[in-house]
Amino acid sequence: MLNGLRIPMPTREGLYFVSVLLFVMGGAVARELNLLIVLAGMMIGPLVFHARMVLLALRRLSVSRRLPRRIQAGESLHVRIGIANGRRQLGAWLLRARDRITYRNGQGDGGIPPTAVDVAVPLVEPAGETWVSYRAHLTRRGLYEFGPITVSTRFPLGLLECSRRFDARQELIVCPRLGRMTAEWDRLTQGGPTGTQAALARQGLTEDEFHGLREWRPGDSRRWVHWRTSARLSTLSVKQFERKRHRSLALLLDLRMPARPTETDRVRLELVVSIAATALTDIARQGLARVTLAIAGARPGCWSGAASPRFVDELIDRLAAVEGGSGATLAEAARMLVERWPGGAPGVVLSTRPMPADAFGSVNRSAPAELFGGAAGTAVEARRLDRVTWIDAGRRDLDRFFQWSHGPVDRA
Amino acid sequence: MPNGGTGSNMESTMHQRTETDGLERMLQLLTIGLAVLSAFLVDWGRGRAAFSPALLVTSLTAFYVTDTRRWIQLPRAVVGILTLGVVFPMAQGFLRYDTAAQLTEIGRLLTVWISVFFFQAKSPRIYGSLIVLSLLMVVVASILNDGLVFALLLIVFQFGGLLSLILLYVHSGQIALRSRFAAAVGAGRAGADRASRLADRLLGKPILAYQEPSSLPDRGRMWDRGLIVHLLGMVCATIVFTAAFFFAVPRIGAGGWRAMRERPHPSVGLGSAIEFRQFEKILSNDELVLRLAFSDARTGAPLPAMLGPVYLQGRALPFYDVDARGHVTWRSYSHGEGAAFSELPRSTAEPVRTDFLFEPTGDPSLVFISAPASGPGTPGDLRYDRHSGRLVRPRSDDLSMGTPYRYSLYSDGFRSRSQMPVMPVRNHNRRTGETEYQLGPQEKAGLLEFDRARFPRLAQTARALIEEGRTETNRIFKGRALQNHLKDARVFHYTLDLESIEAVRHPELDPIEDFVANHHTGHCAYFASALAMMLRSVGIPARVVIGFLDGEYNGLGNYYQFRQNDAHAWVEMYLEPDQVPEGPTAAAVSPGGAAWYRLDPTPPADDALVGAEGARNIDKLLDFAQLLWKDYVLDMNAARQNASGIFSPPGERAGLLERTPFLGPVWSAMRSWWKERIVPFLAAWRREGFWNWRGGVVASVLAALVFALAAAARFAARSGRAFWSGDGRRGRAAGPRIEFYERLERILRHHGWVRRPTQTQREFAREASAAFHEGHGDASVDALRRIIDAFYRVRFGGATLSDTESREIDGAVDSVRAHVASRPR
Repeated sequence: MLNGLRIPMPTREGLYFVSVLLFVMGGAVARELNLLIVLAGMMIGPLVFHARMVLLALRRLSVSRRLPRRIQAGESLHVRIGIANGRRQLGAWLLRARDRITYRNGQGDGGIPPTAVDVAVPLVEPAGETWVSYRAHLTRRGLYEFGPITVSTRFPLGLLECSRRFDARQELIVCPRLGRMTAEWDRLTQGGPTGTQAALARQGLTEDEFHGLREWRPGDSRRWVHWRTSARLSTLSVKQFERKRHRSLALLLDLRMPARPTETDRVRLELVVSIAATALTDIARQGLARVTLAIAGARPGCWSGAASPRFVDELIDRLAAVEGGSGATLAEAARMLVERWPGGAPGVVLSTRPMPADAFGSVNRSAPAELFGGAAGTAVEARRLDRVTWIDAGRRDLDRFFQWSHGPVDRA
Repeated sequence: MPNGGTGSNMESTMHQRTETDGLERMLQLLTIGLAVLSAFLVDWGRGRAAFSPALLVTSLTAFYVTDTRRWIQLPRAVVGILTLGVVFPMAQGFLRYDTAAQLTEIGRLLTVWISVFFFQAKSPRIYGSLIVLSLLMVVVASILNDGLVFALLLIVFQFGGLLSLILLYVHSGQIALRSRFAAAVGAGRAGADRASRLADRLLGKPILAYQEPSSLPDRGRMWDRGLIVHLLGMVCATIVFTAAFFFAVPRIGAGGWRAMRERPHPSVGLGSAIEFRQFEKILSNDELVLRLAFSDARTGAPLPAMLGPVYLQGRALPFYDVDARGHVTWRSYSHGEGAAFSELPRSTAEPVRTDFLFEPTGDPSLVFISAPASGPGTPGDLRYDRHSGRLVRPRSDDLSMGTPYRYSLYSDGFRSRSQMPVMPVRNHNRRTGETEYQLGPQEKAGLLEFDRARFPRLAQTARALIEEGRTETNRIFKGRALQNHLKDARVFHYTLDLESIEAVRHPELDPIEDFVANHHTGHCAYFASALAMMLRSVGIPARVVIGFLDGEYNGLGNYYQFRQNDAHAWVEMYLEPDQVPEGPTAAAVSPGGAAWYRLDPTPPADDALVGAEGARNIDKLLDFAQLLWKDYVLDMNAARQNASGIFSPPGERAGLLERTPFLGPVWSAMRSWWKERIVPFLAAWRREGFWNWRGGVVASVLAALVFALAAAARFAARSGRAFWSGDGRRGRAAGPRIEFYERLERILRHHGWVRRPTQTQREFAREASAAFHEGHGDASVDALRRIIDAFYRVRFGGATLSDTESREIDGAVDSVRAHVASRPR
């Protein structure tokens, strides 16, 4: 093997050809038939030049791939592969580029074998480059590794195959599927379970955003009058402001999975992840809020920051690779969450399981702080956890908060 | 998801389909062409057209009804039954025939198989089978053919074969692409159908990837000039390679070409008797009989064309006979064993060497320049039969195998590049071992047999001519006078039209008497017979000699070629020692020896056709090429390889194995076991027919051999793949190369720790760790553990180390290196 180049090996047709060749050679030697030796030579010659051609065809090739950094699960992916020919005289005909896609959802390959996709390349001209493409549909969120790319050719006779492996490894993050959050979710996260809407203190003018101008109405403050415009229009105009709402959110994902998860368990996990990703995307779209995300999965983790698109993308990347766990990390995740709880933000637990205590079955009822294994160290923290809303992915009325783009959520 | 049904996709797929149809159509026609050409090559070797016309009709019919109209497409099972069904009846007949006919049977079987395959719906597998079957037909043809034209047709076949393989490869690639796309479309549709279930949407097959046929760049660009030039270059390079390969392959035996002809061998008319009617047939045949080249026997320098006619003697016929229907036959003495002939005397003035290349024939008789002598290049088993006046080679199986025969003879019958009419009598007596220079009385009496009652006019004419010429004392003058009379074109006419002779013949007269007395028309045998009888009538011993006269000289190769229609009959007159003329011819005759004097009474033919000079030159060129083909291809054997200076092939070292100390006895025992046990067994089986217990044993052994060979081939293929790719057994044992681990093993090996073959990497690491512990190398133990963990993750978990991890592992290896370096050795 030289730079990933493997020696030519006979294909199935090539083995037939070699069998006939051996037969001819045997006959030629056994009966001293010179014309059979000629025939054998005429059969070996093409094999030799075939081997030379397949080797030459791959020797000075370079391969590249164009791939987005991330896509959403279920989206169609257009992967482009470019093959450049460094030779100035000889083209490379009928190549096959085999790209390998490996699904790595955080803990290895997840038991799913890599998928190979073959792409035919009719011709790469001398000193030229040819781009070919293929489509891929990646249905599950996670981390996908592309590569290596194995370029092979059997041209021209199809009797020998030579391949060359190009590392060309790239990773692609497939984000969770997104749906849409409903108004009920908005009310839940804006108002909070105990009237946090009212608790939002009106902030100063400087914290609101200028929205536009309108005619003066009785009751408007004189400070809002835009005098220059009023002079130009000869009528009083006032500045209109839109209140910037602070949609901070503390989100805890309880990704408990049994040791032997059923399909229902796994669907619930995906639902939880999708709801979280959709909620975070909504928040990022609206902006200027803080968000804290804690995950109680295979590994606990907590991240907090301003809900900028970049930060939310980071969170969604983490969600793409998140795995369910035994549930033992819930307390630790809750502890991390309360440490970084954004001030005044409502807390929501998205869980794969119903809230363990019987008394808290309804949506707007809070989960007890004890549930989190004593994560709350102070009274404030305990009060925060007391007001957390527990949303179970298996609940019947989940579509009150979250819906897929094409309709209500199917129950898992 | 691939839907395969959107407008653009459908359109592009249809477009691809149309293009593929064009490609496939070309492949179909090319396959037909290959099959018909291969059948034609077999027919060419057999000398009659049987397979190729049948295959042409069948394949074109199949092209229309199966490929174009798709009316008939035989199911695979039916094809299997048909192909197997024809094997058994043919196999039974196969065993009853000789080798050449067996090849014909194989050709027939292949023709049937190809025909059946043509009526099947075509897939790449079928096209591949048709190409392989055509190739097998060519293998059969290669055994039956020997001509240069065959080699040229072989090149045509090769070009067609390569082109068809390319088309087949492109076609299979297209089919594979379409099927992959169709599978993806199917999977996509199935996925869409199931997608109503949330679980399938979220947890379905994670990856579905495919290339759309429409995504291919313009495929028309593939067939550009560069590709065509490259392919032509490949064919040319293959021809050069074939030539090098052919000459380099060491020949094992001394044999060369063995063409297994089924067609009759050409008759050269050198048998023990010759009928006039037979002579007519021979003279109408332009088949090549032999080529010869003259060279100076002393210097070896080739001689250019001779200045006069060249007579090649075939056989002397002293006995004249006419049957009741008036058919004339000249007969020779019954064949004797013959004797070897001596070399030329050293005093020979102008010794000439003649190299003959005799075409395959069923007759062991050869031709020679009168009074042949032996020398370098003369086969030791050649014999000259003084009674029948013929040169013979030993009859062997080679004759029936159609072997061209090479031999060299020496002669002192030339002076200044002219063949002399006087040739010495020089016979080797097997009993006494001496060379005789005269004929005995009994032989001379045979040459004087003459029935005056049958030839009154002939005898009268001869006597009159002798008297008229006053040449009573000199046989040569007498003979010339009679020869000149017959050669007078005003009186006698040469013709091959025996029907015109029959029309004017007097059936009550002897044909020769009638020829001399009445119609004066005939071919060379008439003239020679008449002269011989006239000489005998005047008491001069004479005999008719048949052979060849004046072949065509080929200046390109500096040789003569003789065809059947160069056959000729002339007369040899016996000269007693005292009648041998002095002068330039005397030196050739030993003192006191008798001589033969050649007389040729045949006048030139009136209707001799002289072809256009250009066409003749082309003929000569082609013939020269054919000669080179024979010289350097068909007759290439171990001796010629050695003589050509290529190298000394193993054939020259034959017997080396027998001389090897330990292998020699085993090899000899095996050979004798094969000859004494197996060969008689097989012969008995063949004699008694196929269906007996011997057939069962042979079939079982063959089946076992086939299975063993298949298993060996499979093992070899797997081992080879594994060896080269590193994925097989070797791969399982050693795994892909993991550089950091190999570095670790090198470091440890350098300091005396070597992993045993039975030890896993982890066990080895534990062993090393224990040693490290003793030396308080806890940090190194940890480093070792990290390296082994990483190794197992990469090697068996398929994981790839990130840059950070790689750096850490490199650091760990360095740490181990530092630790072991600090330890005492």
